[in-house]
Amino acid sequence: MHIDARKIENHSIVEGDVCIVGAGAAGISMALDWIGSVHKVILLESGGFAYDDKVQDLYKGKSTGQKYYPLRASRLSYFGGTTGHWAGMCSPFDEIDFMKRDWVPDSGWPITRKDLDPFYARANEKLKLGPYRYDLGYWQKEKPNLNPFPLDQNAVWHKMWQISPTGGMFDGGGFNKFYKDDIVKSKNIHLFTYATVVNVVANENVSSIREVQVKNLDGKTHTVKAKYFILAGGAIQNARILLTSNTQAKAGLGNDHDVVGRYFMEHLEIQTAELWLLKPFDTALFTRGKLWCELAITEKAQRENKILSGTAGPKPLVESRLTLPRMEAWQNEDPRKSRDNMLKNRMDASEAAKKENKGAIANAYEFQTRMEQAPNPDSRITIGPERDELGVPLANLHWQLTDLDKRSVRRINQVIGWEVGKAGFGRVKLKDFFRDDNDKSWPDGTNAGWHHMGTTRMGTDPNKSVVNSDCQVHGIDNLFVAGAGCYATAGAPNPTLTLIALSLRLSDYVRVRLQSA
Amino acid sequence: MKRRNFILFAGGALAVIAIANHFFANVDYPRALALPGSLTPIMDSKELKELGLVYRSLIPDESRERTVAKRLMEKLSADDNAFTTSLDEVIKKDFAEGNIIEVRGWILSKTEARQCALFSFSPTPSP
Repeated sequence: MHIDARKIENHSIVEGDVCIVGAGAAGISMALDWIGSVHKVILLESGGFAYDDKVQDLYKGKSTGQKYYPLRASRLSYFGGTTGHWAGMCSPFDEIDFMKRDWVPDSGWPITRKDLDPFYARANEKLKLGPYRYDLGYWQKEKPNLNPFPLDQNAVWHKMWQISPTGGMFDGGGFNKFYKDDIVKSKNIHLFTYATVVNVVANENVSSIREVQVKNLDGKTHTVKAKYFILAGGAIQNARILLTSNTQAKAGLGNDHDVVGRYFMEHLEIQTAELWLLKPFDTALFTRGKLWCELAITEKAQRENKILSGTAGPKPLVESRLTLPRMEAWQNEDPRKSRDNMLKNRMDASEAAKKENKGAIANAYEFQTRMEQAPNPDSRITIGPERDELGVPLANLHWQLTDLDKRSVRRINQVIGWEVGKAGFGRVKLKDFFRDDNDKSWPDGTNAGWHHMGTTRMGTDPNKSVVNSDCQVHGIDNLFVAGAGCYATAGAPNPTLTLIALSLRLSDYVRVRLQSA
Repeated sequence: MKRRNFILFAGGALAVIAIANHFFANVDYPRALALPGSLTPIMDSKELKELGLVYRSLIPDESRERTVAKRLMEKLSADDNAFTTSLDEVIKKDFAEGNIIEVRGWILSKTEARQCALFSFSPTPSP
């Protein structure tokens, strides 16, 4: 059922079994999982069912360090969350992405890919994807003409993505379109819109959460009490809520060791190189439809080169070289205007490319390298002195990359360039800013994927992590975090499939706890 | 001229001629060697020449036409008829053995980079 928190009596007290804070990909996926159960689930959403400029203002914040998108425009605050401007790209992390790698500081999850596999399969269903199959061999039997490049599979392999129809671009799509009815019609899911959590209140010794305080821009304040609380507002907002809930714990909840907000990670998505084919190569593998494919560096090659996990996605060069980096196109504080700028630029580039698409360039691609960034405690979310309309301190971002990131991007493209030459079907040309080994700088056009990860990272050591392997905040019995903020490392693939898998695993855990209590 | 001085003078002159010949005489190599056929489908003559010039600055030991030609010839089969096939094989082998080099961002086999270097000596290069 749906309750508009602006329309209920001020200072209402709402009680339930589970309180999920945030109705985005993680929050909605978990709520769907509880439909029809005997438990009462409170789902709190800061916005309504459509974009609202004033609610979006609550996401304002400053960025320092590596150039980033305006924080206000890099996520969405209404039912469906950031799935409302999501391209729908889904692929699971690889086994190595969960492992401790001695060349990647602070790497290693307390869970493995195997632990997540059953939940990946369920996440696939929530995202209305095809079968939980991401191997090229399977899809080659299903679709014609998925011819891979003849590369040495010991070094470079073809990693598959499925494209979820549940993505959207402010076009009424996203989880809003696909799951609003399911949630609203459910009897045991109590969705409160215009209910922004402004404070999480713990018991006296800060070992469990008693309630959360909720406000909206209409001046109403409410209290939500539950047995279990799950923060699912995205990596920036979750960290912000923990840091600003500092009435009982001075540094914020779960922040005894100053880890909350640290290790902010993004996916680097940078135009890094050109692939020039010596003759036309017939394949539909790199044409985006329901599937997508990128050239990925094998575990063996990652180990040998001591580099991060990354892939290179080939896009037609003639069009790509006329397209602005997204980091430049998406700089308007209004996410709708940023979207418009980006799409217009793409359309213009596509139109202009038609005139130039002849000769060798017609068989050339630009690689977009998609890569995890190394966990870095200095890349972080902090809270500043400025406050939003509800009186909550704003979250600021300091995004910082490392030398390992730069070396890895460069090396990934060198490995692919070498393998392409070996296979004899083309040659690869690196972009200017990767040619000098000693150049540690990044161009302003360094794109990120709007993927916020790692601010409440998972681990066994409370000195180095915020949540344990069950996504429970260390030391607080009934407080959990869902979403990509829990990632210890970021893998190369887009985060949504994995964050939903992780959230469904958390959902199961809380259910078991509830039933056994 | 004393006999001893004459011998010294003649020896010096011969050395000068030999050195001059070494550096300035026409270099004898099959002209096709200076045409990087593996790259012509994707690069124009301007780019090939640029690559060659950069290669020469990257590898000062190979900044002279004769040296570059010699290095290339060393790798090739003696059979002139098999010249092109032989070059293809050498390039393939280069990549397989990691005998590669980055020139202006291009990841190339050493052999094709040397071909570009040789190409860059042509006064009016046209592939």
